[in-house]
Amino acid sequence: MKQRTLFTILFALFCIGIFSGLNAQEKKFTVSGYVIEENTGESAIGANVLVAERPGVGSSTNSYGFFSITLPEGQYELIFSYIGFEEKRLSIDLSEDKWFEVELVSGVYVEEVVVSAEEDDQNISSPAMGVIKLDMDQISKLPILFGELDILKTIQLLPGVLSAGEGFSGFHVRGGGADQNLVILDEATVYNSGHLLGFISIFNSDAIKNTTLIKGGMPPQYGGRISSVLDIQMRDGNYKKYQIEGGIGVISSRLTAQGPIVEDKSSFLISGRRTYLFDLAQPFLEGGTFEGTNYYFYDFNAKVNYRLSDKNRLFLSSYFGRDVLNFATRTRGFSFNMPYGNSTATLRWNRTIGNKMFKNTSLIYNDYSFDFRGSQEEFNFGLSSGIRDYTLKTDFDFFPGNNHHIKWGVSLTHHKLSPNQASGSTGETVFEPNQKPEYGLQGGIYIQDEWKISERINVLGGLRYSFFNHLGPYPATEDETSKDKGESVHWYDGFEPRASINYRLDRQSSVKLGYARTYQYLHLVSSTSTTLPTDIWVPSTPLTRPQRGDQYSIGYFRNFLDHQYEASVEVYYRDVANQIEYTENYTPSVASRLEDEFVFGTGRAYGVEWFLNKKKGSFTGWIAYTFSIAERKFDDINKGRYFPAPYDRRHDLALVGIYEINDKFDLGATFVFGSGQNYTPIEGLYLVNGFPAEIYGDRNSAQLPAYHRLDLSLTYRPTGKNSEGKFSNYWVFSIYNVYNRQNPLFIYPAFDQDNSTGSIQSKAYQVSLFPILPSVSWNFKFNY
Amino acid sequence: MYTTGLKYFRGLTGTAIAMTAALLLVATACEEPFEPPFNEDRDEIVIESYIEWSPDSQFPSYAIVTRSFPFTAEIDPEFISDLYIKDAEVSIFDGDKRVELQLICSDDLPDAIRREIGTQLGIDSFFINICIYVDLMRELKIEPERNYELKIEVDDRSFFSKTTIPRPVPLDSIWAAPAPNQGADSLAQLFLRLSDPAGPDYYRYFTSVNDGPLLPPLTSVTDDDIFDGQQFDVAILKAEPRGTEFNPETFGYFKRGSKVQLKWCTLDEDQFNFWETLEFSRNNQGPFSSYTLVDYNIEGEGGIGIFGSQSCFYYTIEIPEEL
Repeated sequence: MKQRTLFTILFALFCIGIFSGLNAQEKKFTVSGYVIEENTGESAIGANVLVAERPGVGSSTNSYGFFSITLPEGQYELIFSYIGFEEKRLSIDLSEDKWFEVELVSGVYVEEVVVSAEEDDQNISSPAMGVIKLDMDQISKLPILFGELDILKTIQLLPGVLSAGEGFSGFHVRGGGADQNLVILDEATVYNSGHLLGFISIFNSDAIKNTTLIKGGMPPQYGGRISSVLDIQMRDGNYKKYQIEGGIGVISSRLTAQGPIVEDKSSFLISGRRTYLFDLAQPFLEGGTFEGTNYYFYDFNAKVNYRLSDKNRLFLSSYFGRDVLNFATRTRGFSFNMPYGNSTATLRWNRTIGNKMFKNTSLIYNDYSFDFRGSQEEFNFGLSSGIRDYTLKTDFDFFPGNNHHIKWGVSLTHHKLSPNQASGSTGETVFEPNQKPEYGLQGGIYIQDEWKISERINVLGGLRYSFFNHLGPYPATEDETSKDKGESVHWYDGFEPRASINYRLDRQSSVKLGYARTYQYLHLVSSTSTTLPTDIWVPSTPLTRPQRGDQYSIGYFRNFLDHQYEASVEVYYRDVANQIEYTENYTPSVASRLEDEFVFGTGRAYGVEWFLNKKKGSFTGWIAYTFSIAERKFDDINKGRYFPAPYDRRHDLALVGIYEINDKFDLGATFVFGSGQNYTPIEGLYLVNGFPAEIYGDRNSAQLPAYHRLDLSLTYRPTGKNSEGKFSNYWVFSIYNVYNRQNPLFIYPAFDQDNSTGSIQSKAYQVSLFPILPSVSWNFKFNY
Repeated sequence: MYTTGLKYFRGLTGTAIAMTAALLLVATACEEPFEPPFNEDRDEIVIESYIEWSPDSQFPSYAIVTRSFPFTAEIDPEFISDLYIKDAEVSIFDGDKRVELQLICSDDLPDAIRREIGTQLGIDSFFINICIYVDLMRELKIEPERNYELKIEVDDRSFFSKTTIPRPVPLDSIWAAPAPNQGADSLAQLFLRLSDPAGPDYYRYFTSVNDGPLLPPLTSVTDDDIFDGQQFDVAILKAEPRGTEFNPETFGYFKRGSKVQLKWCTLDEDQFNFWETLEFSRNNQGPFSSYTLVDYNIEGEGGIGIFGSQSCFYYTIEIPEEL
């Protein structure tokens, strides 16, 4: 009832705001167009457009670089600004609607921003909460593991974002599970974002233009996950000139080519990456027991785009990546092959309608598959799982006046989920358990408005309606008959109100309030302590209900010293329902109905995040500290009592610093400290068959020792930062875990049995993954 | 590397994951002893009781009652011998009558009987004074599909459980074949042919070599979810005593010339769940694994363990030197 009232109020305010704008009598014209980067022709996302004569009036470009400002007739000077680019001023005589394509020249290096809210005071003027944008050029100066630049690991250094474990690129946001993050690459959902079991993210930094993390009030345009959004956009490809760039690291190398197909009209980008560490070991395996055993991963990004006209653009982008483990042993004739990975494709059509409206229509394909094929002589076994989506969506941006930015859209996705498809054979006998894929149709429609009510009050509010139709085939249950393919099994839907309000206290500070309700219709279930490629996605069914999240947040935001420093304190509370876990006695099974192995419960998470960010000067960096609690409650786990989530971590601290020594050298450092990971302790033993078995205590009631680590990096550019030659290159030297801290990854018990004396020794061991690890990568770029 | 349990291959995806992790771990990981703050105040009564129908076996129904103990305990034969509870009252009801089970301890028995107990239980009876409660006079009526109720009283606590002997499913045949290893001329692997009847069945097997103890392999149980109602041939593993060093060249194979006894059983569902969860828990202590609670079927505060029943067949094969 409370949410319905809130929605009614928001809707009324929205209507009043729109119509008050439309009723204005003054004669007005609109200036609109694209802001692009001069050196590449790529669109500038989130660039600011201000009106010199009217302080406080302005706009920013949307995800495709489009802007629109409506002003009364007159003479104006528009100011365009964008991180790392020179400010551009444009004088206009606004006596009719105008259209511009504004090019910004790069070169403002002294005011570097590693993590930015875009405009100097965007963090205090925007109603958006917990929105953080990563700048790829700048994070390349931070220390890295194995010489692999990884955006997901940088995200883990932000307040409210926790690592999934030592070295893992998986992350948890504000007490949410890893599956509750919506990770999208050029609008395509990425269901598994990790290579090498999650130690390296699938996102090749050379192909990435823009990364935005939304951990607070998720805007209504996003749906399908209840925790956060990580929106990653690929580079379009250089419209102006040909470029080849790449890098050689410790375990992999990468190469990217881009350039115009038709200058200023069409461009392409193709980027690839592959590991070779284990390829190098192949000569040593030749002729040996394990000849043929290998592991590698690779990925490709490709994008082409075409400007049909000033107001029509087409983009086609795709990603394909695979991890492959081949194992072979000659002596036992045993072998297996395990490939897994994602593939995505996105076709987008941008269309500007008039001067105030922008439309994007996308057709999206994405697929995640995991395969395992094992054999020994005549015995063969296969296990596969995966998820495949087809999505059609369209979104509108409408700028009716300078106080409103309205978005609405609709999306429809067809899901095919194939959890645990097993098969086997021995000799002439074939085993084919009766398992069928599951299907679902998911849709959403939303409207949102960013409304500047006054100089002090700014509101971002809206509503999303989402539904999920679980489609057959589905076996008969006690309550219902079986369903054939395509028949509706169960329908879920819900309204998702979202709102955040910014009240500006003065020029330097503001207070924000936020609320968001979210539904999640697909679920990742895992029987392990982290997220692995073997984890499977399952749909909502009559038994498995959609996850629901409600997040409340309040924050105080303040900038210092002419916006050199930005600081914030945010408090949040999350309440989640219909959470899923395996039963405590779950063992892997391929034939039984999987959802019978689930138990369902609720969860809550709350915490405080402190953030102090120095954005400008030769020394930049930030301090992020989070105090948080994340708990879950299931009737069938831990005797129905609350227990800490595996990713519950009381204290999490990150210190990040980058120092520009001169034109050729940068120093980078990160220090992280976190409370130890929770685990379920052993409280006793008993003998079965003469051998010990464990008695476990309360779930996640014990804690590993605290985690802390210092990393350092040195970036060296032989030709200097501002080299304008055809060839440039730089080296990144990193030391991971400088003081060689033995951070525990996991502990395990072991029982050493001495058959000669009949005695058994019980012991526990701690395994630490990464000692001090130096690495180096060499990166280069050719311009033609 | 395979077993009657096709289940073994299910677990191989986990093995593959562990191997990928191992590629990293071997290169960089470091392992050191860890002393967690164990809570040592658990006091569980542990019950293992089985009723077995077999056209071949002479071993009576029995129950083992022990106490749980701290993780940090020094587990030597004397300590293990002291875990056996010798003053419990154990009885089983077979639908017609309730039979009190009698306590016998291996130290009090002649060597031949002592050895037989060790063989059947898979426990070394030479070091350990095994004490079990047995239906010595074979008063219980043992037949497939029959229901039984267990009652145990110890330390003023009472524990209960029920079981039903499952239908027997004998093997069609068993035979030896050369091990596939190059140069493994002295080794053989055993194959069996099974005609699984329609409907759920749960299987477990044990092997014994040259009259040694009957031991289960690391993954000894399987259900018939993926081969229900089918006939097929599959290789089985030689079970090794716990603590035996793993040798990839010989693991699971039998020496030619040895006498192998195979005990092939169908289990009741509770017993299958118990061993399934226990073995999974024991075999999955590696990276990323979560804990698995063992499925008990003992009612009563502080009681854990299993009261299970089984229908078993015993097969003996002499593996020839020449195959």
